[in-house]
Amino acid sequence: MKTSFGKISGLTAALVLLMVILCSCSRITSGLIKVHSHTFYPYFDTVGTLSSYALDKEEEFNQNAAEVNTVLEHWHRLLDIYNEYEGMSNLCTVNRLAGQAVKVDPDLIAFVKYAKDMCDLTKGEMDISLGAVLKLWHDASKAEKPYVPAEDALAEAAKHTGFDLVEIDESAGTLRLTDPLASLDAGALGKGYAAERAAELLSKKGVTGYGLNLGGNIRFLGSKADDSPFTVGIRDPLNPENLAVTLNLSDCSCVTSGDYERFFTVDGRRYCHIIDKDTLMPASYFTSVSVICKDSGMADALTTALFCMSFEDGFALISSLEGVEAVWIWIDSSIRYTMGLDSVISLV
Amino acid sequence: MDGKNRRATLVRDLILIAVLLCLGIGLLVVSRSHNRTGAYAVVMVQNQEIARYSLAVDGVYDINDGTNTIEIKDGRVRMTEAVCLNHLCIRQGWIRFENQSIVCLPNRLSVIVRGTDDSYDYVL
Repeated sequence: MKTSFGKISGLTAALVLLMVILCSCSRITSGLIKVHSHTFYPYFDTVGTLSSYALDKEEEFNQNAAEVNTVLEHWHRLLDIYNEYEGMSNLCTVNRLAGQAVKVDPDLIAFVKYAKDMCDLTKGEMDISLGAVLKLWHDASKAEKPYVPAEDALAEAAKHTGFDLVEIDESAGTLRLTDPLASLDAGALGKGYAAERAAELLSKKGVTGYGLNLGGNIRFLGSKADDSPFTVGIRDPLNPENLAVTLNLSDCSCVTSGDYERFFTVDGRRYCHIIDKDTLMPASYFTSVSVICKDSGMADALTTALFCMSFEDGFALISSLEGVEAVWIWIDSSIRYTMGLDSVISLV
Repeated sequence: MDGKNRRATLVRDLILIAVLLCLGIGLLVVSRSHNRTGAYAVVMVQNQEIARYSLAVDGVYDINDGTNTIEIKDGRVRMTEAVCLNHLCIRQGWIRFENQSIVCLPNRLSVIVRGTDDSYDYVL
């Protein structure tokens, strides 16, 4: 009897262990539910959400959300190219007064300098001075009956682009576009840069376990309160209801550019919102590109650049950077990613 | 113990193992399939919840005083109509994962999936 009882307990223990292993083997799912959430409208013409998995008190979260709101509003206004705001000069002002030096907030100068660094890093594939070309595409997509901009109009506009047209005078605190027909458009970098500034603010306060999603531009602070990572799913282009890839991430940024987010259709053909500076047409190498690295601004810039580069060129660029990883998904659902993601990525 | 007793004990142990195994697998299967019956679509305007619909019941609903219309079918939800310029919300198609959302920016409206086990913190 004694022997049998001992065996039973041993077996039961083994079975329970087996069940536990079976249950937890699938994917890392945290039991920890998002505790607080706040949505921001409509900074950067998109939706932003701040979520807390930190198990902090509501008052604390609301305070953080309010501070993030202030940061996002600040950058939304500085980088807005469609509206000007009383008492300040922003990119819209600089564009309107192209040819003249405009005194701006030092933050804006810092941004333009960073944009120049990113332009150099991506060999011009991410370029905020592409405004004149992008404007033609914006107008075309927003028309009552959307159309494709004429080739010669695009070619003419392209003559008024290039970072050499941007004059930064730090001592005077001014920005000047040397060409009156040039304009700046921060769309490819603004969200990431703003998200990073917000993350910086929260980080300084010691906040951890938060996620900030600004229209597909996600910034994680630390891990969740139970030490589990944040889970991100990227959609399968052939079956958008399903996922192609999932990632387990902590304390980093994940930015995705896709052709299925913002697009317009002309004669049955889809035109996405990311314009390739070489063809002056929407890029069509991939259906989505995701970049994972610490800094949200860099991730945003790289994602735009990679979307407009061949896989070989993009892979070479990412490989040359430390702490930066990427995922490319083609329209036929094929996927490539950099090795650094091996431990955090799952193909669905 | 003599031979006969030993075998009886062994058989009893095997039966016990089999029962426990079946129970374990059974629980696993049940917990997995309990995926979508508790799921719902939450409609938020600005940061306020204004409505909640079960994903287990097919239906078409006008929401937010008719600015938008959603359809629920087979445990998924999508935006079918919207009073907005670019209809990006409609182009999002069907969603079904926990936390996944469709946003109609001009109307400050979001439809978010909640209560399903199929969960990712973010879906891009």
